[in-house]
Amino acid sequence: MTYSLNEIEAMSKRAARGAGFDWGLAEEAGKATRWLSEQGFAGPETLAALLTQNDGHPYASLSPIDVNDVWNASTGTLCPLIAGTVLCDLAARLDAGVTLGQTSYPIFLVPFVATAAKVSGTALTLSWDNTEICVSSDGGLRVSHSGDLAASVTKAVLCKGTDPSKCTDSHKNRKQDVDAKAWATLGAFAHRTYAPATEESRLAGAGAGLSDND
Amino acid sequence: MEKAENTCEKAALRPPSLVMRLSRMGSIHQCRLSFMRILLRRMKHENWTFDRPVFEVDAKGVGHAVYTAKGPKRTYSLVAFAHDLPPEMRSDRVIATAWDATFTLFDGFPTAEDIIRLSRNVPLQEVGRVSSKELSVSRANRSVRLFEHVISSLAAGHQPDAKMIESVGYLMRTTAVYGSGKLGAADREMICDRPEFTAPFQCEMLSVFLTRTFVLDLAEHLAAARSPDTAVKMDPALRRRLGIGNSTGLGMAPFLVNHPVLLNNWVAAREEALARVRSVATASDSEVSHFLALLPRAVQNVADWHSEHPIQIEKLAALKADLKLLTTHVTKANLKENAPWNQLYLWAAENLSTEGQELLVSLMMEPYGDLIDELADCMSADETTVFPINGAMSLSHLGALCDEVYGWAKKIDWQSHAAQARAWYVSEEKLEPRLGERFEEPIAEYEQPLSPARDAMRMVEDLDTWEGDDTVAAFVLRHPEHRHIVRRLQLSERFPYAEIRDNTIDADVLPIDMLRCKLAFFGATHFDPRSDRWVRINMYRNAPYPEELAMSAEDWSYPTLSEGNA
Repeated sequence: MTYSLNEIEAMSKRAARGAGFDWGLAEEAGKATRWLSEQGFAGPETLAALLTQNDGHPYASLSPIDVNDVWNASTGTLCPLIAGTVLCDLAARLDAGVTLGQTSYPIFLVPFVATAAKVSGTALTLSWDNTEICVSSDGGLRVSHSGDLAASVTKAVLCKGTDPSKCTDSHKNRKQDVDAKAWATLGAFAHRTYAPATEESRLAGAGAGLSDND
Repeated sequence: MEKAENTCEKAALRPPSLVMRLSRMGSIHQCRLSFMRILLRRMKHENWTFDRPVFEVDAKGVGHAVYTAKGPKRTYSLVAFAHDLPPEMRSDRVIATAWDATFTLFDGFPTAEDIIRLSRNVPLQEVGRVSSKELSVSRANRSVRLFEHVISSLAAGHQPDAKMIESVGYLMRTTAVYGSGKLGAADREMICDRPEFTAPFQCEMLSVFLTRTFVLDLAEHLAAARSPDTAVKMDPALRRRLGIGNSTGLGMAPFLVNHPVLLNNWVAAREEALARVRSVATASDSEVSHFLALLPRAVQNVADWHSEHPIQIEKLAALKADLKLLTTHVTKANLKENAPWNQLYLWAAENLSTEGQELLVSLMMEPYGDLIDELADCMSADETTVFPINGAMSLSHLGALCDEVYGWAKKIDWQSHAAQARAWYVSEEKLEPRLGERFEEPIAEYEQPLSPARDAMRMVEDLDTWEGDDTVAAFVLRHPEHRHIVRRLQLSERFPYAEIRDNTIDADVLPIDMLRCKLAFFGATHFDPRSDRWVRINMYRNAPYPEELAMSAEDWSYPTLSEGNA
C-alpha cells in the first residue's frame, strides 16, 4: 500500500519508540526513514528489519564505545540509527574522516550524513563494501553501488569529505509503496506505545461529555 | 520586518515569560493573523469564484455534493457525503465510527471515478484511505438542538428562532479535520509552495469554509423536501450568524508541544504585530474611528458567547467587566497622539484581566492591516532544517539556555506527586490522545514526550555531573534519553516563543488552555469548554458565505450591530 511521507514518519517514530529507543532517537528514526522513502530507498522495510534484529538489545550494546578512533559497539555491531545520530552530532568532524566498525543496515547512516553535510556545509561521502554514496550541503545525492544497498551488515564504513561535484543527483523517485509485512511489523512495534484501553481511561482520559446528542 | 514611517521608538516584543504562560495562551482571541481570516482575505483579493456543480442528496439527507473554489491558478473541490446517522452512534470523540456528514478537499475537480473511490473511503474516515489527490479528510455531526428546529421552521414557512440560533451558533460541528498526509492524503510538503497554502492550515480552513455552505444547503434542502409547498430559505442576516462548530479533544494540545517552531512562528508574528501597533506614534482619525466602531461589536460578540463551564463563566464575567472599563476609558483617553496604542496597552496591563488584555491586543490590530497583514507570510515553518542537534555546543551554553527557558521549573518540587500528577498517552482505542493520572492508572510507561519542563529538570540532574566545557555531543552519546529536550532547548535559542512556560503535567494543568491557543490562531470564537480537556468552538460565525465574499468587510469576525442584537 502507498503511504504519505508523514504517515511513514509517524509510524517509524512510534515503532522506534516501541522498540525501546528514547523519544529523541525515535524522532530521528522517523525523520531518517522518511528521508530514505523520499529518496527512493526502502525506508520502512529496512527499519522493520533493523528493529526486529535489535529488539531487546540495550542502547549501550549498540552504540559506539569510543568516538576517537574506529567506532565500535560493545557487542560488535553498531546500530545505524544510533551511529547516525552521533555522526550528525559531530558533523564538523566528518570532513577529516571517521571510520565505523561493523554496522547493521548501513543505508540508514545516509540520512544522517546528508543532514551533517547540510549542517557543516561540506560534501561528504559514505562508503562500505561496493557502495559509495555522496551527499552535498545543498541536498545533492549520488549513489554508486554494485552491491546490495539494503545489506543487513557490513564490516566497516568510511565517512569523509569529498568534492561537491561528485554529488550530482542520481537518486530515484520517492518510494511510498510499503511492503505490507514490513508495515505490519512496524505497526506491532508501534502498538507497544499505546496504552491498553480501560473503562476508566475511556471515560475520563479524553474528557468529553457523555452525550453529544445535543 | 521593520516599518519606518509614523513610528516612535519601537515597542519591545513582549517576553516569552509573559506570553507563553498557559493562562495567557488560554486567553487569546482570533485576530487579523488568524488562519481563517488570512484565507478569506486572500480569496477576496484574488476574486476566487465558487460553485456547486453536484448536489445529489435525497429527502432523508443521504447523498453527496461537490463544492468548488476556483483561484487564479487552481480549483479545489469539497466532496461532501451526507449520511443517515442513528442518534446512538453520534459521538464527537475520535473513537466514533460514523458521522452525520463526511468530507474531503480534493485537489482539482473530481472525476466520476474519483467520487466512487471517495464514497468508499471518506465515510469510513480513519478506516478508509485517500490519495495524494486529497488534501484533507473531515467529518461533522449535527447539532441535534438546532438542526431539527431550523428544518422544521423553514419547512413550515417561517424563520428559525433567532435566540436559538444565537445560543447554539452552528448546524453541525466538525469533530476532526485531518490534513497533511493523514490517511494517505497529500503531504503538506507537496503543496506548501502554492501561494494559497503558504500560511498554515489553509487547506483545512478552506474545507471548513465550504462545509459551512454545504450544511446550510443541506438544511434548506431537507426543509424543502419535507414541505415543498411551504418551505422558505433562510434569511441572509440570520444565516450569517451560523458558523461551523467544532468539538475538540486533547489531540490539539500535543500538536503545540510537538511543533515548537510552528508555535513560535505563530506567536512571534502576533507579537510582532502588536509591537508594530504599539509603535505607531500618531493614529489617524479613520484608524481611531475604526477601533471605536469595532469595540461595541466586540462587546456584542462576548454577549453572544455562552458557556456552562465554571472556568469560562468566570472568565467571561471578568471579560464583560473589562469591556465596560475599556469602553469608559476610551471616551476620555487620547487615542490619537503620543503612541496611543502603547498607552492603551499599558493601561490594559494594569487594569484588565488576561482575557481582556488579549482581546484588546486583537482589537488594536484591526485598523492596521497595512502594517501587519504581511506577517501572515512568516507563520509557517520548515521543521526539517531545525532538527539536527548542535553537538559542538558546550554544556555550559546548554545549561544557560535551560536557565533562560526553564529557570522557573527549578523552583518546582519535582518529587511531589502534584508536580507530575498527569501523564499524556495514546490509547490503543483508535489512537485517541488522552491525559491520565500517573499515580492512579497504569499509564506511565506509555507516556508521550509532552512534559518538556520535567524533562529539562531531569537533564539538569545529569548535567551537574559533567564539566561545562564538555560538548553536547559527548553528553547525549551517554545520555540518549536527553536528546529530545536538548533539541528543544537548542531550538529555543533561535525561536524564543517555542516553549510553553508552564508545567504541562501538573495536577492543576488545564489542557483547554493549549486547545484555546491553537483554535484562536485558527480564527475560532465562542470557546465553550466541556471539561478541563475538551472544548467546543465556532468557526466562521458571522463570516460571509462564498457568494458574499467579494462584498464583505475584512472585520467579519465581529458581529454587525443590527436591531436584533444591538
